[in-house]
Amino acid sequence: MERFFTLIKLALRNLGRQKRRTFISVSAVGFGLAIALFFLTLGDGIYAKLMEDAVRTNGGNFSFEHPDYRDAPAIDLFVSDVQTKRKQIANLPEVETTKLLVLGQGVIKTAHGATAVGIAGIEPGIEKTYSTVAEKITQGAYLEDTDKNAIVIGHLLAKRLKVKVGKKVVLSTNNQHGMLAEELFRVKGIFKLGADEADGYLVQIPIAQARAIFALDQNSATQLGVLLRDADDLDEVLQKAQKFTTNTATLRTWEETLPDLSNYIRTDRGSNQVFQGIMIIICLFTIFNTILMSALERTHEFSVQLALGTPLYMLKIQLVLEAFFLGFFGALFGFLVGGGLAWWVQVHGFDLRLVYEFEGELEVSGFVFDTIMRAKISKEVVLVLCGGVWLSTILMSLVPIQRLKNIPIAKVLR
Amino acid sequence: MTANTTTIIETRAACKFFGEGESLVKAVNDVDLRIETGEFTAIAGPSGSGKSTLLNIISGLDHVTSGKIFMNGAEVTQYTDKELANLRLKHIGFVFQNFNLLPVLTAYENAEYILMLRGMPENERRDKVMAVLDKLGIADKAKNFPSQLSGGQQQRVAIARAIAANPTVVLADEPTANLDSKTAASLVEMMAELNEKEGITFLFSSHDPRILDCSKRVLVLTDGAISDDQKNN
Repeated sequence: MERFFTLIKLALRNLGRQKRRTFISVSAVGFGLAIALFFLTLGDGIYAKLMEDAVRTNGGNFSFEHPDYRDAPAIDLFVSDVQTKRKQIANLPEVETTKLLVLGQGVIKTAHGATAVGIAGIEPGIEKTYSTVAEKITQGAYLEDTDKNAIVIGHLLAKRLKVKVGKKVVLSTNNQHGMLAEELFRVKGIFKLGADEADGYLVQIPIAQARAIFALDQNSATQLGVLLRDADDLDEVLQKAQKFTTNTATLRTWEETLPDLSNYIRTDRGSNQVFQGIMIIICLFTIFNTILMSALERTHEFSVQLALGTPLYMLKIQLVLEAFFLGFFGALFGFLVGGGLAWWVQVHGFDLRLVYEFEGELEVSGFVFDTIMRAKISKEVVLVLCGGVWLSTILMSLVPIQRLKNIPIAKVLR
Repeated sequence: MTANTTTIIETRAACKFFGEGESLVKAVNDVDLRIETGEFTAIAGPSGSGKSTLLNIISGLDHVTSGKIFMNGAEVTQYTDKELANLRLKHIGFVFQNFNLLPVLTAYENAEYILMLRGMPENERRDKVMAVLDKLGIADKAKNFPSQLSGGQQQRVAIARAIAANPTVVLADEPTANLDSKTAASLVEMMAELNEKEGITFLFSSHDPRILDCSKRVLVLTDGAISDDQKNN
């Protein structure tokens, strides 16, 4: 044990004798790690927020759907007995709330024209709490649970149909039996989500009336969406929810119901990881160079130690310890700088408008999201990055270690 | 010096050649040598005569081309590097021309280094090292790093490192070459005293007349071979 403490002392003092070089190496690793840590956690924060906004407005972190609905969405592909499932799933502690959606297509008509729309029958009380649509009402008001024949539409649709709040529109559609159905609505609110697709196509009506139009019973819905308290619990809850599936209700994750957004996040996260990985590798080369140089220039000292009878394994451990401490200080530095910055952005947020000028809203794959970015620090990312850099630094010492056994002691000491 | 002496180093037809063909250099050529306990022996000879190479093959820092080396009766020529390292640790104390102290360790820690490698308990080490440093007159420099010491002080620390662990023999390669004459004389005197009072065996390579004068035996090496073996009274 005393030998080990002596080796620690030697390793630390050897790092201390070349203060400038040690500082540069630790800084290189630290800054590389800090940048990677900051941007990866910022990316995770952005993706998490994007996903959260999208799932709250749409079908939740996961949903129950008819097994065939995803391939060919149609109003007759619905989930029956949704109230029973809703009670079952709501009992899971990870579940924050559930939401029912009736989704179909139709035509909206006014005196000035007609256009195709996507009809969403929603539960106003729940949507008001969780969905971003209610927050984006620019004229009039959002739907209430007590509303009848009320509709909210996007501002582009309103402009096209030349309707204002309080005006009448007619929704025409085919019900689940293929029969034509029409209903008169009064525009209660106009929303502006910022995405043309939603603002020019989506309309929302209370779910009871949607069921009536589409001839669904009050215990049926196109989707039973499930919102989780923590999105990271998805896999665990999916396993638990599996037992609630039936031949008319299968589980769909948000990645399946929102494939465009999922693909965007996957691609962007991948490229971010590759970029940060390259940066870390460059920094690791710096430390590799340091360790190698440090070993090469001390060939004479190592020869003296070997001449005195120092076992070779002790010299190897000494070099590993030097790399261990270099990596530790580099990782600590990177963690404090990168983690500190990420923590600040996680707590206070960072408005992208300070850096970029946007015309309109920030839209990704048809989804609008907040310009205030927040990092999301997870222990997995911190551990993998800091631990990975630390471990890589230690592994870098294996190359000079291999040179130790080939030192020609007598020749070096001559 | 003990009355009953035993052979601690023996070389039989030891050769060390460098290069090959026309560029072959016979650094050590067919050397037969016996060193007994308590000797204070110098290997003399001009530069390039093979003094350092002979010490290197005796200590296992270099391998012989042919011949055999014995240490305490055991043939060490066939030892592995690991066994040679262990032999040096347990039986040989080194004093180098360039002192070769570890720069990141203090004088005390340098002198303690071999004892630590041998696994001696800390309190025993402390007593031993301080006694040796005191004997060599550098106890007050115990906390100084080599860069804070003069050449003579560094060499004293090197001697302290070499003798602290009670080695079978101290091999000293030109120990006074980098020292001024006054310091060199003082060191030679000190090593001679250690030999006389403590019975420590010294084997030097040197052409310093002070060492040669103090030596009880002088081996003269010429072109790698022993050309003379003088015993001084």
